[in-house]
Amino acid sequence: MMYKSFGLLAGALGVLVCGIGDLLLRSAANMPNGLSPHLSNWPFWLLGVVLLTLFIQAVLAAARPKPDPLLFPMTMFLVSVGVVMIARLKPDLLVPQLRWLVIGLLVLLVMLRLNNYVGKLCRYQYIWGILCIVVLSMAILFGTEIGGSRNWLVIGSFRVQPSEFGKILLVLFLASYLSDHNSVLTETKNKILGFSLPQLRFIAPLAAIWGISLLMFVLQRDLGSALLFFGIAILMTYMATNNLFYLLSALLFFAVSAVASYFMFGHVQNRFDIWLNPWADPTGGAYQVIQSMFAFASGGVWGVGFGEGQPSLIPEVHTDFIYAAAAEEFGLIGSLTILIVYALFFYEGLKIAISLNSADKILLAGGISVVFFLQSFIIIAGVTKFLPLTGITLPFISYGGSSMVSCFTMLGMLLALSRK
Amino acid sequence: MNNIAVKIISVILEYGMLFWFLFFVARLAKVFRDDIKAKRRELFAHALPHEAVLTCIEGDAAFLGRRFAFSDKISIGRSDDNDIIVPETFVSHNHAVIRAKNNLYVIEDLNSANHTYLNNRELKGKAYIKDGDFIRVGSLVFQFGR
Repeated sequence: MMYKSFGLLAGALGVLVCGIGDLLLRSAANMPNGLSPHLSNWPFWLLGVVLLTLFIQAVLAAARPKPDPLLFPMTMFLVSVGVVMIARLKPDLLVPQLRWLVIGLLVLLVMLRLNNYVGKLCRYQYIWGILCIVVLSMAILFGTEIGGSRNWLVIGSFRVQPSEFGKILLVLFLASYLSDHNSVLTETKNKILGFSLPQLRFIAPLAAIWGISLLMFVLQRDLGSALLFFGIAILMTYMATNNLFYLLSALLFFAVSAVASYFMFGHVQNRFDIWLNPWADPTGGAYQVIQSMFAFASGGVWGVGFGEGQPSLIPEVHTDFIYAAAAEEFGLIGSLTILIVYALFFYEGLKIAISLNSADKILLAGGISVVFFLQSFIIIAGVTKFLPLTGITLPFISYGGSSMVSCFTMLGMLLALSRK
Repeated sequence: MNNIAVKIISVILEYGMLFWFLFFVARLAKVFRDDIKAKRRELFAHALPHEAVLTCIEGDAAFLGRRFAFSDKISIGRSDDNDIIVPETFVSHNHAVIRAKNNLYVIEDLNSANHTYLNNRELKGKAYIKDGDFIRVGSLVFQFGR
């Protein structure tokens, strides 16, 4: 099984070599969108990433009991798509991205080293719960507004997005809380409208999470993270209890708060109107979404070719809208490939979850898979105008340090859990 | 001339990226297909034959030691339309039924007055049963076997 994952890794490396090679050739021949080798010391960082990747793959191949062989190659494929896209779109951000990538891979290595402890993380449910609330409220209280959302913490020259780490804490808290209180949550005490309900005090922490995601939504204008946190809470509760009541009442809560916020907040109304009819204001508020749709259209089946498109017309193309740039230059083939890799990543994560033997580990693995799935779904749906746009990073591909480090932390936890 | 060579190499590299995309998906598809095939083989290797037997291990002389083989369904009760007819007042007319479901067997208590006991516990509704389980109906105890 392991030699297959080396073959998959060759695919990831192939994308990287062809992409960077093309960009270097472009700069040598004075063609547009080239990558100058004089830019700075990016080749060293790139070499560092490649060597670290091969080292981690060797560590994974040698590890007994065996970890999952497919998650790491799939991740590195997404990462190499991200690296070539950032090198092409924002060459200035290539070195920071590679630096964050090295940090992410080192975090992954640490998680693999500590793999015996990952299963025991669920013992500290209230620590995770309190930390999660502290981290999220730090962003609410001391947050700085960058790019329309007040979800950044600025400490000197260092900027972090607390919600990226909050989601790991949330998954840890929910996995431990739900597995610990599973019996009281599924107990058939009261019956309302044919649904069996647990006592109110056991639902309180879940209601608190709904409330926090609503606060993030109102105070920080961070629609994407709010939706993500809400979705994680619902899906993990449903996974743990198999009770449709939680799902339906959450959907009802969501519908009511969505309608209410449409009438109360201008920016929500804006996003929704853009989604409904972007052509009402194609050069103003809907500019980003319209340009993204043009990118998809001009890409066609085979794409316009790497470095040949005009993705720079889309604002924020290197973070939230990187999928649209990939769709323009690699076409339907490239965008479907990325979708398939995310879908199979989710499948593989759930496969790990159902092969585990204790409720907290199952929920932890399932919850991490849900985070990757929901996050990629929310942003891809927004970029393709399937749903109203809610800004959030595309895991492993978008530019962003916090996102990269938190995604690699979760990957490390998933890989550690997969070793039985 | 030099420009044309650069252009050609550039186009090759651009299509090369698409090639690696497709290469990756094809490899991934093959790995997942092999994985699913192996899983299926493993599942069917452990598949049990579609038949089961109830052996009476406790009860009066008329039943003790008798074996009732069945494949899809077997019903237990006092009335004549049952597969195992138990003429006891503690046994309801239609007492319990065992049905095959997805390669497993499910026992269901049909709201009997004196209950069905599965491994000495009162059976509420339905339950999956496995090889070696004990089923008590009235004064009789059956052992389920596959």
